[in-house]
Amino acid sequence: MNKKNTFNHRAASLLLCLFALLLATSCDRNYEAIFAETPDERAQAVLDQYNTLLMGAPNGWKASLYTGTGAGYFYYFDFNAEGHVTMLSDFNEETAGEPMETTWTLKSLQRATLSFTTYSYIHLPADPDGNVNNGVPGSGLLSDFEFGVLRTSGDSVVMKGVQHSAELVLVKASAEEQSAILSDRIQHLLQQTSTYLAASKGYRLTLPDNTEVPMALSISQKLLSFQYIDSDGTTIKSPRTSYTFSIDGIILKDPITIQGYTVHSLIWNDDANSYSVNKSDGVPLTASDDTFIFEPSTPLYSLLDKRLITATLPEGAGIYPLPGQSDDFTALYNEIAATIYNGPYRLTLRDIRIVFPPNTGLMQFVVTFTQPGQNGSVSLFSAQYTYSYQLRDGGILKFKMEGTDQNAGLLYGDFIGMLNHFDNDTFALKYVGGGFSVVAGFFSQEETGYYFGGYLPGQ
Amino acid sequence: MTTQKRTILTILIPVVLTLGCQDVYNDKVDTSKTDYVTNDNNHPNSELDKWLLSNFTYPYNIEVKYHWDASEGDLYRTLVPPKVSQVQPVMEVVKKVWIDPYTDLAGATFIKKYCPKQFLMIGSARYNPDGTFTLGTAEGGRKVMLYVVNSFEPTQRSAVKQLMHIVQHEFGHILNQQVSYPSSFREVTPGAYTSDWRFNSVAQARAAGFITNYAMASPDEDFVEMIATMLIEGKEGYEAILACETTNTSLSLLRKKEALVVQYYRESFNIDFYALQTKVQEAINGIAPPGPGPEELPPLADAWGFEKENTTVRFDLTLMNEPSEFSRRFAQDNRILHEAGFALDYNFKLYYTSENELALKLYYYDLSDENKVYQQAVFYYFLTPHEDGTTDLQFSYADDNAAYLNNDLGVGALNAFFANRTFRFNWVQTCGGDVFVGLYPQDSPENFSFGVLEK
Repeated sequence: MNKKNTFNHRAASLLLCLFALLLATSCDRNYEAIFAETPDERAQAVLDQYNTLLMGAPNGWKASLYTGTGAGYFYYFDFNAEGHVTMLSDFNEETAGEPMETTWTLKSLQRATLSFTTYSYIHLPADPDGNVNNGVPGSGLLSDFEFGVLRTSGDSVVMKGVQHSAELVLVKASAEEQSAILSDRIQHLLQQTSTYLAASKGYRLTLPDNTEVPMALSISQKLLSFQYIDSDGTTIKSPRTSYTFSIDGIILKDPITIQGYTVHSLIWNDDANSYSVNKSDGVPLTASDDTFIFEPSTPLYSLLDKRLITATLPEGAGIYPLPGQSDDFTALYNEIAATIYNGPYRLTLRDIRIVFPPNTGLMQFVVTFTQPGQNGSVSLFSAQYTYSYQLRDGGILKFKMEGTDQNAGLLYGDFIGMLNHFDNDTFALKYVGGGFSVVAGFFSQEETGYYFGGYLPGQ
Repeated sequence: MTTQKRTILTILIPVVLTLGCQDVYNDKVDTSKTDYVTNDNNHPNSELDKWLLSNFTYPYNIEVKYHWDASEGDLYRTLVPPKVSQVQPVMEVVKKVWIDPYTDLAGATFIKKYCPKQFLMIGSARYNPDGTFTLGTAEGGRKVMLYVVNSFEPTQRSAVKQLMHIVQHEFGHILNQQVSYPSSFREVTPGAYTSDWRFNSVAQARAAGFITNYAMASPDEDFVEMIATMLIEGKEGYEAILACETTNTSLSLLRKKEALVVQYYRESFNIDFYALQTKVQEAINGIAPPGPGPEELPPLADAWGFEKENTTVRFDLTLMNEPSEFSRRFAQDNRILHEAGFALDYNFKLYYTSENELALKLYYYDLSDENKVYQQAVFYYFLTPHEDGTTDLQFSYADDNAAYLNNDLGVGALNAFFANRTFRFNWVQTCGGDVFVGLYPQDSPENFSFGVLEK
């Protein structure tokens, strides 16, 4: 053993003793536990508390679910101790009328989490099969069926979905509400509302100052919108919100305020078979089949050639006509769609866009369509007809065809019905209300039965 | 000196360690009560739970999990749990087609010893980012995931076969992990295994000595695909595949593989594979009997036509064993296209565009284009039906691409099969037992063609 080694050895021994000493003195054993119970015990206590809470609602819970895509749904839950829950939903007329029993549990995940463990009405918006809920294949409506409890306040429990952060708020139901829900009140309202919407082309709200405000309501998308000219007199506002049904009618997710007048809910009046605003004796909505025209201080035609104006007729405009679309136009649209579908190219009509590019003096009538390809694939094509136009007194437009692209040439014969109107008629250009977006409407001055429009991009 | 020091240290260290940390939390823990934060199993078992326990858990130590547990699935996919009402129908099929045949032949201990320990049920499919979706997976021979439980229909033969193919395939892997298969199996088709198995059609795989294209992935997959296909298709279906869809060379390769599978079952587990095959077939036929033959189907004219339930007959030269005259027409057209720098797709179709018009749509792509952007060429035929049930096909029109193929390149053999001839359309059953639409030219009915009916 040489000297160096001996030194190292001694040093090592010394270090070892030092470490031992450090270890022995390093612990602080005199601290106080913050919690009297173990984490396990505390987690269990929280579960027990929420278990008792959820099962302790004598008349069950009414709940609103808002998914990641913004759709809203009403639910009724009645939790029992055997791990079963009875539910109803306004997802569709069937789920609103047929109570379903399914399973639930509370889990101790990051938070106390309410989990619906087998398939039920709450899974319908969450199903990745887009055919179930009109959602995107693979993710559905970005909804959840496991919800962490965020907080409780008074009679309500606020929860958030674990995977897609859908919002679920439970509120204790009263005995009266429970009995109404279980005797198919929600189903009845869904059916009544469908009938109500089908009975008229549009509904309007009359504000205290007698201004008429058109409403748009969609049951399938669970969206509601009102449109009005802002106090500046120029902008048209279309605030929209999702909603859920309740036993009284429709509850808006976010209240809509129109020039100081706030709408929280639409209350169904069983005697009058109509909706009124905020309370049962509130202002009733009035039905009207007339086209609603906005006349802001800046007319639509005055923006031509100054700004890009794009009016879009979405696919399906023949089945769900836009506001300000005449029966003549709808019939022509459907005839053209059928012709190109049955034609040699098997085309499916998609959007039609009417585009006014600024500083050109031109209007482009652009038709997009798809063609089936290999192995179920589809390809998207477009055909463009280009027109010049003349702006005459009173904002009347006169079009003149300047050219077509290749596809447009091939489809010329199929679209001749619409093209002829551009060639032969003159059109008034107006803002049309009553939809979820404002419509740019084209009204033929020669044939009063021919008018149509396209959605303007949302503000 | 050093020994002494070591002794002191050996004593010192344990002393120091025991003096080390004390924890006021852990001191109070009752060890009999740890890990008890749960709401599981607090509820009485349902009828379904009892059925699963008495059919899977108690006899075979298999857990069937249908209540949602996100940590068992894929946290990054949107999935939903199964409907309670669907669990028993699916698991009944699993029991009848998988457990029962094995138990009958090898005794209950066999399944107990080798089975996967957990079946996890998922209501929806698992959607993949590329737009496809997955119907079943297995992890390490321990857990089998069954998807699309909510839309499973036990009366649908194809659904039953698809489900059970997955289960038999995965169980094959598990058996191989316990007792490896004969190494000579790897030598039957060496060098033909490829990670690009997807680009081979089933027909190409079968012509190369593989039972499915997935079997080309590796010898392991090859072996279990042989097991699953032979069990699920049954003796009859398997023999029909061999008879119709193989070449002499590939037939002998598949026979060699078959013999090794049979040998493996006999030597490793003392199971008669053919008896097992029969039992599996009986179980499948008991649940979902084979569909009707051509004689029991409605007249073809009611099933295929303009605005009928089906308008299209699709040809697939990779899957269908067409009569040779028709195959040669395809090959000729494809060869001419290749010379011009294009390739003809193996799929094409004949469809009604109106009461009195049929269209033949071919798909082709530019060989130099890696993206395989397809172009279509459509030929149109005017139809004149006759009293005796035959129909004249009069060539009426070709679109731009079809005119280019026909006039400029001389790609016209398939078109000429249909153009200006009289046909009789009728059901045809292939030797594999599948029923197709047959197109018989009156002048030479033996040189017919057939395709599958589609919407």
